[in-house]
Amino acid sequence: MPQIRQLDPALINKIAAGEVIERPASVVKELVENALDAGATRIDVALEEGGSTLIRVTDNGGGIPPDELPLAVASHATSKIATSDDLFRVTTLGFRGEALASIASVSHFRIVSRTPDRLEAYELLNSTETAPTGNLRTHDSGLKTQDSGLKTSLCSAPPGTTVEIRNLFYNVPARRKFLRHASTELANVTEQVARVALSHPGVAFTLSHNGRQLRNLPTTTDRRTRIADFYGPELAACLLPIHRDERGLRIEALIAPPAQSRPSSKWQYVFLNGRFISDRRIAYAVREAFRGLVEHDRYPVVFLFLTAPADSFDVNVHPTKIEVRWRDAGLVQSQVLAVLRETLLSHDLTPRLGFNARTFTGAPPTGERTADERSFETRQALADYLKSVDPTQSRLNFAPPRFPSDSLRPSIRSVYRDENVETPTNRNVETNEAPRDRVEDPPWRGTEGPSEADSFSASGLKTQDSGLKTQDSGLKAQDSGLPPQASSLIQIHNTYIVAETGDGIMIIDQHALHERILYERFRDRILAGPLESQRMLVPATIEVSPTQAIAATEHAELLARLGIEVTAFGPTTLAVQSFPTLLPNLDVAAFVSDLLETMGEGNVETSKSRNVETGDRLDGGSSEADSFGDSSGTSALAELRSQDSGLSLPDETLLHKCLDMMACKAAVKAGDPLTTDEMQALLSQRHVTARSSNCPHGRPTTLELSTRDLEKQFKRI
Amino acid sequence: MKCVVDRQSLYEALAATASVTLTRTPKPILQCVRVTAEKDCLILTAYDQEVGLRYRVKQVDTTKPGETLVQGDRFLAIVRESSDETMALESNGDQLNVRGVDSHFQMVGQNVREFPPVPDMEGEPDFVVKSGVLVDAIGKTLFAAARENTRYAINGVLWEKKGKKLLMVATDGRRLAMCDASLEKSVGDEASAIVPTKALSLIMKLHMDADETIEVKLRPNQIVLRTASVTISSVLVEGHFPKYQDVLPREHDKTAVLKTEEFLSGVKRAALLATPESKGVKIMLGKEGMILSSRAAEQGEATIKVPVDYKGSDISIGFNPEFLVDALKVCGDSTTFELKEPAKPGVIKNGSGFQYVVMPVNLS
Repeated sequence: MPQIRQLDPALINKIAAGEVIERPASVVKELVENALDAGATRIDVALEEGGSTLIRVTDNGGGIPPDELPLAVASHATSKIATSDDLFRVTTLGFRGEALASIASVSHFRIVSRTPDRLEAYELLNSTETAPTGNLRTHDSGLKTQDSGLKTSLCSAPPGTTVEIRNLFYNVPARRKFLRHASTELANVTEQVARVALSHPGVAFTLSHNGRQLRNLPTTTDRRTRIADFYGPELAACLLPIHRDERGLRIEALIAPPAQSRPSSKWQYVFLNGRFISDRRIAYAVREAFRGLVEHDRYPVVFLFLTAPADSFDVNVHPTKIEVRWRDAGLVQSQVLAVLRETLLSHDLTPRLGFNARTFTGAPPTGERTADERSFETRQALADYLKSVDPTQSRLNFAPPRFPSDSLRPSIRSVYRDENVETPTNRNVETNEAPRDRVEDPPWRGTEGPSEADSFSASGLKTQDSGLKTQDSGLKAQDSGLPPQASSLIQIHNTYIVAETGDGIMIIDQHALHERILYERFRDRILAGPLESQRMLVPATIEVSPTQAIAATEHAELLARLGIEVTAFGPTTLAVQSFPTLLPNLDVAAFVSDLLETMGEGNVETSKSRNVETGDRLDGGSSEADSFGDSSGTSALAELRSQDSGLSLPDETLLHKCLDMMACKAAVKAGDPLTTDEMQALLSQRHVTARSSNCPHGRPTTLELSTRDLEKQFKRI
Repeated sequence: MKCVVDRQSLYEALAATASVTLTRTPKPILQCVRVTAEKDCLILTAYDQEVGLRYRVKQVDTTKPGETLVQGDRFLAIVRESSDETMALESNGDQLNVRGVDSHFQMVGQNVREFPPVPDMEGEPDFVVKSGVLVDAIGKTLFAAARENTRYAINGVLWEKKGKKLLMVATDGRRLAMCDASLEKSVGDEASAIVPTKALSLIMKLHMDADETIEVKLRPNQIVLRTASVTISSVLVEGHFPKYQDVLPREHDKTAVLKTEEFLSGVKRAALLATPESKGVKIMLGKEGMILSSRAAEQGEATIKVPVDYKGSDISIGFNPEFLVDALKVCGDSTTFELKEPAKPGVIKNGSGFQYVVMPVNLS
């Protein structure tokens, strides 16, 4: 049996390095964080060969006095905390006092530092000369001589600190082998730099590789600029800004509209006091906030910057400090959820259907949103006015003649339409789209003629009014977001509705929009109380799987809320005793069977998310409820309540699924012909329905094409 | 074929037969009506392979018997739009010439030999019933039949013949209507069949004289009804009708007697503010009489008092107003409304023949 013995400190450092220093990117993270903690306003990162041969981080921070230099690379030596109380009030990025020691133990290490009050800089090396490259022998000697091999010497350098890491992992062949190709490591380093740079816009960064400068990020006051630097101006421009400061937590965020979703959650950045963190509860809040706005396999782009008092969370969880334990995780989660939801609900998220990669401009990147909107409206009203006054051409509003044969109608109809279309651009659209419409011209259209004529002449009348009046009405329409007039509605392929808007046309997926409208209606109704349910005289019986049977008992309460009562009817049979009156035309048995299936699937997911909750040690199971209880006075929480179902998140997830199904089954389908009235009714609800830009599955309901885009395509401008 | 026919009679016959023809079918032959001129009558036949209708028009003067096959809705339109007293029909191969005073339509028809054979009454009828009685019973049950249902055979009305009585039962799983009809003549044992709603709607549409007798023949998968001028055949709904006896409430302790008209008007008015989300109407019975009320969050509340003869204990129960209205519309002057508990069904009775069981709604 080998003896138990105290390990060599160098070996201890190597072991510690294993936790924190995985690859060049982790070295860069530690060094850059040190630089920030030193108060640097400029940080230069230089790499060679993806960092495997050289990593150099230069800052203009406070520097290290020469007598402290050897301590800097000793383990458990730090200037950032002093007492154990400090550990719970960490305001610096680092505090463990291990990073430099760990790095120094696995590399050839050089540190040059000059404090601003001195004229001379000092250099500290570990035994680079004695261990040039890795063979077994030099490893051993390297280990033994490390402590004694530290040398401090005078040199010259600007104020600040430069840390140079050469031959990372030269003495840990396994790790060295593990390093990927230089480009992969570089990508990892870039990601680390991005994380730091995004959260510290006031610090200038440069990143160079093999002598070539890759990034040059001057100081800025706007986080958007940094986002643009890393992810392109297009994304940065469409981000919706969020500011909220409540109950000690400041939430600043830039979130992309759902149309900008990405296939992975990598695009969700959460920073806490400038530190990049990964927090499952916050991620869950983000997912919930965007539920129904992005498809299930897409992830929204979110940059979330949280500022919280240092004593409200504990960073000392993980050596890399990527996770934190919140004192009140539930509160943070619900605050994040509330503010994201609110922002998403208050914006028009309709994706723009530009021909040339035109970006979403829901929120102008700078300045007051409202002022900008107002000027937009004014421009709009002016444009409407100019459109309405057309001195060169007068319009006649003929009622469509009755034609003996349907086959004659379409061609005449198109002429008739063209005569009445108001702007040249729209005329083009209509003639473009109309032929498809005509192909399927179903018999029910025959009755639609006269009513269409009425609305046409109505719009005609309006345009004969004084220009001033038209302008007024244009303004009003813009303000209240009134739906387009029936005259401009057409259904294409019995699936899509094309409507004229103030700024072009919009194309609506009738099923998706109706689904969303019903979803929100059902949701409101359910939150108000259990659904009204019709008891069954002849109960519908369903054969169920064990999962479904369990789901039926486990979710009896939720089912009752939905107005569904299910009782056992036999070993594998359930009887549906009551069913919501809201869904009169559904096959009861099939619906409940599907619902139980969904609930059964949901069980798995629900228990998963429960684990997330119980996994947080500082956060007792009841803390969420408590935080609701004691904070009901504050306005934000009241708002939060009004938006929230009062259900726990897992239940809400399940409720979402149920509503989703109810809405989907009850909504008009693609291929259902709609009358003009129906189309108008559908569109009128679009403006008063929350999240109407996407169906509950996250697909868009509406696409917009601006007049400008059309004009460009037709080479008018 | 060559004949002259009274336009009004032809129109009535065509309207009935054209309602059987299918408007959308991959088999164009099923959009057609077979026109057969016999010596003393003109017979129009339509068949959609489930329901068949033969309509005999007597107001005809045939000079040359024969038959042809033409598209039903077009023929109907021609006859409907005409204002002539009579119309002359003459076939020429697969063509049918329709002549009026100022008009001549030459309709392209189909080969009449391709028209499928339509089931007819064969042998003696199983029972005979007065048209008025039958139509009344259908009218009191048909509305409660399910439109679509896969589990039970309830998208039809159950006919049960017992002695000189015919019992009709219809349910959609939420309410059940049943009505007796007394038969003029009945042959053989007890018999039962589920008659599809299309055939029953067709009978309702025929405007028969109430005293006219209808002969009915039940075969294992077919029903045939015949009057002097019309023969209707239909396949039956296959499957099991739920055991309706099991859902009839055996006891009740609360009986309200109301004037049908007042009850109906009360329910209709109480439902005026209903929305799809909250459509239930609450019925409160007690010493104050009957109070109907409804409440919809975004619309408001309605309260209606209905005079009632009621001596039971207080009860408050919700119903879907549509279900009540459906039944009250077919009730005579006076209605009996029987209840037990808020979660148990209510029963509407009118006379001895009609009984309507309706499940309540859990109001939120």
